[in-house]
Amino acid sequence: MLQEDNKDKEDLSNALMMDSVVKTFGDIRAVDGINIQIKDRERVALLGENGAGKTTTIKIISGLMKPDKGMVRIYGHKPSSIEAKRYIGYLPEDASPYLNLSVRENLDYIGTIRRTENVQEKIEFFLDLLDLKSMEKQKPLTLSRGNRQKLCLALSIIHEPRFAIMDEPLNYLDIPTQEKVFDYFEKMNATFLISTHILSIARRLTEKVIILSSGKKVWEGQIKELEDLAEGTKTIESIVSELMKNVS
Amino acid sequence: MFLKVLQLLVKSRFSRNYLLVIFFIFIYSIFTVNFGLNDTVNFGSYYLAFFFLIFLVSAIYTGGISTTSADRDFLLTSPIENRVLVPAFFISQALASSLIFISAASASFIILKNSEASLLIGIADIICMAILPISMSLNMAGTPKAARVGAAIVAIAWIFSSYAGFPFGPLSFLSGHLVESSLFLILVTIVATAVSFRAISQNSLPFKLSAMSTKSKGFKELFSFRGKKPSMAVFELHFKQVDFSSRTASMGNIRIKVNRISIFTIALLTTALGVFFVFFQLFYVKNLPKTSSDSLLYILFPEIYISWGISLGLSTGTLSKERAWLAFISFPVEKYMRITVLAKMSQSLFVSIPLIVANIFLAIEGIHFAFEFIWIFALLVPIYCGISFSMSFYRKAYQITQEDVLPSTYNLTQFILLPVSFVMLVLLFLVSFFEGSLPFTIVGGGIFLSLFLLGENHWKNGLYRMIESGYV
Repeated sequence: MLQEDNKDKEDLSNALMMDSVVKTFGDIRAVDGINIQIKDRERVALLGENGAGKTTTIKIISGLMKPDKGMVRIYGHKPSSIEAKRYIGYLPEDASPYLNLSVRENLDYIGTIRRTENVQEKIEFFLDLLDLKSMEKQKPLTLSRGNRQKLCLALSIIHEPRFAIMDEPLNYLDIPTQEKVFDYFEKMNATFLISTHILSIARRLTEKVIILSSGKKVWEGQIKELEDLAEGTKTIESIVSELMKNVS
Repeated sequence: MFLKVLQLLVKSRFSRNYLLVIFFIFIYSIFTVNFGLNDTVNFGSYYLAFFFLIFLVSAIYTGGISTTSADRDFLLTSPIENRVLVPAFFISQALASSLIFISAASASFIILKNSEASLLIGIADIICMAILPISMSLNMAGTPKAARVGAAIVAIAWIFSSYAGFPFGPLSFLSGHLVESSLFLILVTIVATAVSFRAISQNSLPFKLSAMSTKSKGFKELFSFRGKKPSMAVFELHFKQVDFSSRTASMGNIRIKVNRISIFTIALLTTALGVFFVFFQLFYVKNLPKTSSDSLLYILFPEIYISWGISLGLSTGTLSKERAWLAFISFPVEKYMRITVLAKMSQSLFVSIPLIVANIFLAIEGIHFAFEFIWIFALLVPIYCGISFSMSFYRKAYQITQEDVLPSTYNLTQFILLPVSFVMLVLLFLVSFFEGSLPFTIVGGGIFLSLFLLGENHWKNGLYRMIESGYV
């Protein structure tokens, strides 16, 4: 077991270390003793049925929620520390930008407070990449859900994070934009932890899978291993579904 | 079917908290009207007029009846006739907002007792005042903005006409025009209600119910944070803009509107207010006979409510659009919030400067109370702005969901600011009446605020509480 007193010693080889993490809400154990290790530059998908604890796990990792027990470290730092925040880019599910700032102001403000280098160039880049240029002065409330998701996606990675933590990042995006995002993610030299229900996204964006069920980790391995389990007779979805049901 | 629909609507809108809110408003109204002391009839009349004006004008301007997204998605798409839906929606809205108005106006029964007005007719008038805003809100739903503004101006003029000797004014029944005033008010209410029922019985019912503001223009001028340090960017954003929470639109339909008002616009308003106040004091109030109620009504009360309004107004809606996943994932929460608190305090001081200058001028002219208010605007207002803002963060009061702006489905955490602001109101009265208590109030408030600012866990726990409640 990892010791709490190994505090804040930078560890650039491990993007995430989670050890025996527990989080309860009343009688519900949303996260029940999870251990996860993600190496630097590794790309991992977090799968699980509804209510499996994926979102709670992601919120704990991103420092927005405090675990009841256990230890979490981002590159050796506590998730709520300023050092960890410098590495993280976080996109929650159904994210909302600042409604009282325009599209450009949102990017400018978050880019500035994240100490992004060449922030104006980055803003122009993302406005072009995600076809948001024509609506840069608009309030997010007037944008379609898809365009709002594009803005949120740009806000989460404008500072080129070393560790991107994303909950359903491609929700609401049209197919051409999804392709652009796939391409951009592939070029990013970053660690990825992506929570998704869609296996095709997991297969394209990541090489490793962690499956949660009822707050516990029930399986961990390479996507290739899942494909091997399917053995050509079953779909990978049915294998994942079976794994989710096998909770001890 | 009617009873089932009504039951559903009432159940989906009412909570125990609603009764607590009514109780609080009732206590407040009794407390405030009793401060009228020797002049209860006049003061109580102004008080009733003020509430009627707020309810009627906001109903006319916002328009519509509150509907939840579930109403729109399921109830309005179900095969239920309009003759069932219309009265059910009307009654549920009447229960939601009229009870609040009646509790706010309840202190006015003291006036009725002391005035020439017959108690029964007076009560009928107050009930009409409670129903008229709902009818008007339905009649005005979906009409062009110019029509709504025009109707609001007529409503304001009608209310003020009660004090200009017009016998048909809604409050003229308190000043010797019992029959004309009451008959006219009852007639207007009946006509407006009949028209509203007719209007929403047509096929346009869903539209009339959910006249949500969906069109919104972009911003004319954009903020730029180019070359700013992160801390300065946070300070500048929260200093430059004033946000008003969308719960202010809860009288009529649910509207999620994004309004950003420049701090310089607010400063212009307070400058105009300061200039008006000086002229009003020097050319009108100074010539009035010296009685205690005159000084209360024309000097002390406006000063108290302006200072209270600044500290509360600048702090309530500030973080309603803040997004935890953006700001607090980028910045240590305690640092971000300390900078924001300082920005809001600076903002309240900035808009208070014209009022400080006005009070210095009035103090030199020997106007009673002016000297205290120099310090109240300079120190107490910023301190209480900081305190109410800090407390609202801890209780996640600012994070409003769409359903929370429905009248009567109150989440009490949204009202955490009411007790805080009530305390400030009491303190302002105490400071005004007990000379020498001001320094203690300022020091006490300063210590309280320092505890908030210096406590790191306060902010972290506030954030965790917010996230665990589902506000990301």
